[in-house]
Amino acid sequence: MRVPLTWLREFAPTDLGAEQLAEILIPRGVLIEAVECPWEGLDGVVVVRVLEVRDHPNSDKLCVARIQHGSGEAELVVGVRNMAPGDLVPWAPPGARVPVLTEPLATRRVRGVDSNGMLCSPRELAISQDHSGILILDQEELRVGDDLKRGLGLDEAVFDIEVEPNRPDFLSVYGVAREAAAATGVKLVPLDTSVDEMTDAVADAVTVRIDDPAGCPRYVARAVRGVAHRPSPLGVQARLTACGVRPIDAVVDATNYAMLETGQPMHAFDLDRLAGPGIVVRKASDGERLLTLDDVERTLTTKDLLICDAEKPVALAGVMGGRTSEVSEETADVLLESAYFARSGVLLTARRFDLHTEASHRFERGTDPEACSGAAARSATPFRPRGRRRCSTASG
Amino acid sequence: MDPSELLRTLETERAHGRDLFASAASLEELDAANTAVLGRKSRLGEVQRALGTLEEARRRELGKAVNEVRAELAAALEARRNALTVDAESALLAADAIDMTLPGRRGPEGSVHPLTLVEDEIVGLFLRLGYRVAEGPEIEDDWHNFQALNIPEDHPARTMKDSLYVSIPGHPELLLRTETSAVQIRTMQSQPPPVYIVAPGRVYRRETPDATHLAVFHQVEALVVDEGITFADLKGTLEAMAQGLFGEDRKIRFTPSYFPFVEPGAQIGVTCFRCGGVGCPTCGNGWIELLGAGMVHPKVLENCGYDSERYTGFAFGLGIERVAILKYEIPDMRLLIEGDVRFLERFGAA
Ligand SMILES: [Zn+2]
Repeated sequence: MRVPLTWLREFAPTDLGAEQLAEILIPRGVLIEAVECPWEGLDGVVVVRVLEVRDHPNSDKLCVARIQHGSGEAELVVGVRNMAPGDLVPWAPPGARVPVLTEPLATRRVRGVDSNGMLCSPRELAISQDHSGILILDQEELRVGDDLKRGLGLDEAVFDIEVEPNRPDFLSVYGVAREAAAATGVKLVPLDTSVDEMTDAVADAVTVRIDDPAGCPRYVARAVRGVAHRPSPLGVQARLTACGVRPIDAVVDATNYAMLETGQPMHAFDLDRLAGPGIVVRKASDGERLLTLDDVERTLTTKDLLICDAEKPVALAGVMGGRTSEVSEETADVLLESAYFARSGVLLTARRFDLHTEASHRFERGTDPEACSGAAARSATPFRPRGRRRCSTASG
Repeated sequence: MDPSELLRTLETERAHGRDLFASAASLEELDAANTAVLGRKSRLGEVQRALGTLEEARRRELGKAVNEVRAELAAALEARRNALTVDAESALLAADAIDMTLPGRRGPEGSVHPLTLVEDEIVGLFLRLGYRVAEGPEIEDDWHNFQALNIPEDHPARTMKDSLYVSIPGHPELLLRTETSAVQIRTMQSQPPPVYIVAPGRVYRRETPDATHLAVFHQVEALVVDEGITFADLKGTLEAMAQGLFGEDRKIRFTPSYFPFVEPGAQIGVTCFRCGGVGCPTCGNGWIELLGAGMVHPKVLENCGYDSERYTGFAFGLGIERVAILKYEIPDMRLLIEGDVRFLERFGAA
């Protein structure tokens, strides 16, 4: 488990530095194997506003951008032109360092034009793997002249923790923060689980029926209307990347973010593709089939637990979702699953299919049945203050 | 020949024979001289044959003289033969002389394998503390290797290590033991408490060997079960072992860890024996993580029929290869199993 310290400090607001904190946590069973600094190589990158983008006089592909930084203007040659006048973008001025380059930036002549430093893509800043264009910062709460590293919380260390099977609570940022708060004496900040609830009756959105209460004693479902398929805020993308999870879009990222934060695995279904819409949790029948998200058709036995809609199986409980109800870019409404599945059942199913996921890893070690509801709320309203969405909840 | 001439010849032959024998330098020359002086064709022989022509009185007189000369020369011959024989033997002895004090030629000599050195050292340490050595089979059943050690079928720890299974018709669920911990179970099943054992042995994992891992390696496991055993006993015992293995001024530290068959469980670090704990290439930060340990889980005691309310215990296990590469500064664990004589010679004679 990788835990960015900025994230941990949200819940355990200690002033201790990374090394000091590690020294206190290790003897308490948080087996921190390494204290890493993924953005060690990032220095001096600032937020600037694009004033003008014009053609390069001696090149068809290159362009010249004029920018406004904290104390004046500068010009530089850029290889892509997805930025427009008025956009806020990250600028690495001469002397700055970015993680992908070993040498600091310098002023150089590019086909007869003086170019001062570079504008950066998300990949060049080690925020995500996206290298399709210059990172546009308009959605962030940043101003011209801000230091990007400090502004996005990229100046902190990441703990790489080896988690033994007896401490599944350390498979979450909040779990490690709980230990850190206890160890340092700071007060643990409770998770904000408030949600803008819709007024419609929940039964109109979704129903939940559990046929196997031993295998699934608790199932919380939240319907989220009108999701937007845009990138998550950069701070969220950076945290996911630091945890080893690839950012996709705000919908998928929200479930991963909530899982990393609370330890509760989440699954998102496309609500419109669920028949009923209603959730039924039941044991599979012998020979029943399900096409899982990894495009493998699984033949099930009566030992496997299934999540079904009114007509068909839609997920292998606690292990992997099914293809038919997968969230896509067309998805408008989402059904979020936040459930407690019995340890043993998930473990034996995952082992038989040799299918080990972030979700099964957590369920087979034991999750917190009391965490289902809060995690569903976090996942439904993940990225404050923007991105508040309207939800309703059903649970069984 | 008249008698006076015979007498003169006799005298000449006496002198000639003596000279010839005395001057013989070897047994071969002496034999030739013998033939020349005393043989049938010698002058003496001629004189003897000439005696027949003499009248009886002269013949008897001269015959006596001839016999005296013969006897005298025969004695001289024998004396010379003795002298030459002694010389020849001495020469032969001198030529074939054997120095009985030279040491014999030695064949190449084996040395004790480093793994045996380490195992003997650890086991010896515990024998002096009053433990006894216990052993168990390398092919184990699922119950001894897992279930009795509080690792049921659905335990996540089962996926922590990859086991090698053995297929024997009629014996389901046999595997090559993944830990020597199964010996704990077999010992407790075979005797009532108190238990003080040390169990060295070979274990197997489905792993690709590299510089710090082998698929087949050795562990030493220790188990103590008695009334009133506490974590303090574990600490004292481990301290004694660390100091016995790596020197008197070693300190140990406990870090919480997890093994299903102990509770609480700990990882034990020892201050580096090379730098004394300030940090060096061997240790990194001054500590060397040496072994896993803990208090025997009550379920394990109960699985073996022990009263977990009355008895408590501790257990620990360490890898012999790991201790060996640390102690002898071996850069790659695989050297331990390659059987390269140049490597093994470093560890000296038996
Ligand atoms: Zn050292």
